[in-house]
Amino acid sequence: MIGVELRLMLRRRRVWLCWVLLCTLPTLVAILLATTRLAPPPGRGGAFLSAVTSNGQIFPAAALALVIPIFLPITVAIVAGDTVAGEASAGTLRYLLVRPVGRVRLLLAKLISVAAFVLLAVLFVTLVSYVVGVAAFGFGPDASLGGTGAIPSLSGVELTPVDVVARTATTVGYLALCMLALGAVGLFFSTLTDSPLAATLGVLAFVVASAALQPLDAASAIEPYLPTSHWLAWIDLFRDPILWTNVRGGALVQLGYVVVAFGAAWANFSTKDVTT
Amino acid sequence: MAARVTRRWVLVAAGTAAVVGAAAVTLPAAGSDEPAEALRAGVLAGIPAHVGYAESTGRLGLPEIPALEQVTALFTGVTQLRAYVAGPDRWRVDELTPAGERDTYRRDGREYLWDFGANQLTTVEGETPVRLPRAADLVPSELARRLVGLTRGDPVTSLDPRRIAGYSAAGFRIAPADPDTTVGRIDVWCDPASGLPLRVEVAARTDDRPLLFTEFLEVALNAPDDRTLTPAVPPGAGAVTAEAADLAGALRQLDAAEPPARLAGRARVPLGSGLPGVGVYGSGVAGFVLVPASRGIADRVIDGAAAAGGTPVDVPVGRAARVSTPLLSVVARGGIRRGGVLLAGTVAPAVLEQAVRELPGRRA
Amino acid sequence: MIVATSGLTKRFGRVTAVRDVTLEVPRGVRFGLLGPNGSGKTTLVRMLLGLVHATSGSIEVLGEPMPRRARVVLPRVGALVEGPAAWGHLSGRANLRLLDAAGPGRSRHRRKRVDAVLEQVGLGGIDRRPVRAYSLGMRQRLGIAAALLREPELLLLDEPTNGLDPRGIQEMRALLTSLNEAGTTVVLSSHLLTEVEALCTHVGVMDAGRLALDSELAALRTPTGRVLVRTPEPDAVVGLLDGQVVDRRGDTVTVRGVEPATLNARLVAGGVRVTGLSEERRTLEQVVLELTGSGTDRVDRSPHGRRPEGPR
Repeated sequence: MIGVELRLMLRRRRVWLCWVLLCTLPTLVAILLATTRLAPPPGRGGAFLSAVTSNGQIFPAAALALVIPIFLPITVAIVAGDTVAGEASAGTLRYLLVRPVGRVRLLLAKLISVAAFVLLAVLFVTLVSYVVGVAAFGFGPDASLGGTGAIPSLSGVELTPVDVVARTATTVGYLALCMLALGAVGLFFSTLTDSPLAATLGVLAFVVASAALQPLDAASAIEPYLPTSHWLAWIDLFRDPILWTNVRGGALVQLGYVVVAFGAAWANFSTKDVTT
Repeated sequence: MAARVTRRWVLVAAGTAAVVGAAAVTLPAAGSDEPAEALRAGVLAGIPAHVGYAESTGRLGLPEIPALEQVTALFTGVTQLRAYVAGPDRWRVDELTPAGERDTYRRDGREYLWDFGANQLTTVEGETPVRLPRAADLVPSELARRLVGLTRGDPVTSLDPRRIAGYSAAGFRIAPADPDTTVGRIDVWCDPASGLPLRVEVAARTDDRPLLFTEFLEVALNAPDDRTLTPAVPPGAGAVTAEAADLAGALRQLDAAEPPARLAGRARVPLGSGLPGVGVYGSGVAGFVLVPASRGIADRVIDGAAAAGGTPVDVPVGRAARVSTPLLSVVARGGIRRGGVLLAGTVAPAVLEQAVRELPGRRA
Repeated sequence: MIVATSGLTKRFGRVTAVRDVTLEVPRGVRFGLLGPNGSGKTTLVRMLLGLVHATSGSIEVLGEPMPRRARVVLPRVGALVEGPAAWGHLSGRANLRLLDAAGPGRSRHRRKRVDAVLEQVGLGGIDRRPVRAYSLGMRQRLGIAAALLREPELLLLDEPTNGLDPRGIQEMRALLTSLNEAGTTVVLSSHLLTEVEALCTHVGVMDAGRLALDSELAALRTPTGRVLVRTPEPDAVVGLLDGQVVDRRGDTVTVRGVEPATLNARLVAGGVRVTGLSEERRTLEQVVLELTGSGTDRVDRSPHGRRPEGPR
């Protein structure tokens, strides 16, 4: 079933469209920055954007910071909201269930396909923006002097290429986990309704609500439990030494969301009447 | 059927509660029989080497003061800090911002400032007796050392222990006796074994809630390695050297008058090297500082004060305004020589008002 | 019994879609479930497949309780529920392959298996067009092909001839009959009488959630006690048997209260030419109309305030 799910996902035009759109925004930003050379002043604009014009290798970090707040959640909401509700509205859900595919197995396969989607999405953004960044801004100041084009950490210490790859891989994993948590919530919403659109909008409402509560002092007690609070913690991976506190805490919260949302999806879907 | 549905949901609810509970529940703190006086003495005796991550929260409600935004931010928001402390003269503190960091290194009698946003490492030579507050001052160990040092003679009482960063921290409270200070209490929790302060709370007399509190979320009692304490300049970044005394030079430009020997009944604290025009008055936490400012800055503060709910102060010459928060009072006055002055301190606003009136006006 | 339910009831909120249905389908038959739209046929089929959970009552399919043993039962059942459905962006063949891969069982011979069922339903030559571009009839055939994957012992088909043209219906009937002769039990639901009458050996009639009738088709079609006489001289027949003629339509005269043999003798004796003489049997239509009320798609003003019931 998992293989079937993955094949189904990879053959959906919508999924590829999401990936293309995700990669387009950073590319557009890179082109605009490269042509105008008007980087935002330090401390303003997106994270890392001020630094990319001097070293294109930082651009993946800037690109991730660009797509995380809105674009990535939207695509995750679309794909996750479609998981069960989409099959239900197309009618294929009943045929899968009488094949038979166990309901828990179906949910698990859906969750895994969402995980594959987000992982590939983050990976594509990282790879595309690396290529675009290097093409637009070069390898950095010391490359022209015969250096290796190293990437500086936020703390000023240069990172070795191996280090950069390791940290980037951790970032990709961490962000995929953050988005998977959102995907699990989407999966749950998707079992509640037969309309994929309703589930997608539900996920977006969830993101917006979380982002709205986050800066409120009155909500500081629940702030650590909000999913959006941890979305930028990966930046700590580019400090030196790495600050693991927030990344670890964030990963635990996101895992908690995955477990709870999947549990809720299971509780709702196991005995749900499939009437579509 | 219905029973099965409910059973599943009960299971999910229980799981959720377990997940949230595991995150929210903290172990109870073990009590300590160390007397409060001994804990204070432990903090005064010296801070052990440590590496930690701390968060400081300020709720002073200060208005934006022009040219001092970075300082006011420290007292009005959350500051994330990373401290690597090997000793009093060998440490590094990072102020973490969402997309960068400002790191202060101290070693070999020099200070280094790395600012990722500016992509620049500044080496600061020398030292000044008075400087603006900075993020490194808010690390719990440093803040505790400073505040406890200022209140050596004040009464101290014990507080309930707390669980902080995995330690059972013993607490003590210092209530400053000086009637003129705005500081109501200083609460410090520290690891009784090593004497490392883990949390500091400062509350005003008028408000029981802490207005400034800082706490280690993670800390280890080991010395940071040398590599961590070594500032680096990545390729492409700027490296500049500044003299700490440059500040004195800037002050000299203002051609400020020698500060009076006494203000508002408080003696001037003698400062080592010369910072012309700067005076520190009073002792302990009931002190304030007098800083000459350019006319432009003084005027902007006075104008800004009106917008931020400050009150004008009557002075013989020129104009002045006061911004008071429960903990910190600030008074700005223009019309002194060619510029103005700023007075700030954790004292009652009336003290600063009196002080600003006592200042001699424009020279005839 | 290949399907046996007892006291099966399903309520959706305040609406009772299926009410106390006790149904038994013997192995090897062709069972037709008749009933107007909204009479609960689809809900019943869904419950047999474990898609909808019964409010009360029990279900056994292939001798195993459902939905508890769905994992064992469903691989041996082929189903078409409320119209076919497929992933519109894939071709029919890809759809079947994925569906086959989704279920339990080995992947060996998948290609052959898929080709075989496509051949069976007359889609052997389909190209790589996505299902989105299929006609209604092609989708219906694809749906039936999906049900035939893995050679089920029991076929549960909800409205299998929807969207098919007369030739298609004919083909489907032939297919189902031949499968049945090879040992597959066929249960189909339909709101079309002719459909069931033409294909089934057993019939159940649903009305407003109840099973109003469960019987062999042959047993239903009992003689009415009337005789149909076909004659070129209907006037002569009416004259001869005045008082016993019930109806006269063209060259057919309906006569009651007489044995066919006696009637024949009397007509011959009266010199009336007879081209045909047969016992009148009840049609399924009559039976159904006697048993059922109107479906849920007709909403009458009700003097008793009773609302028609059906699934939401």
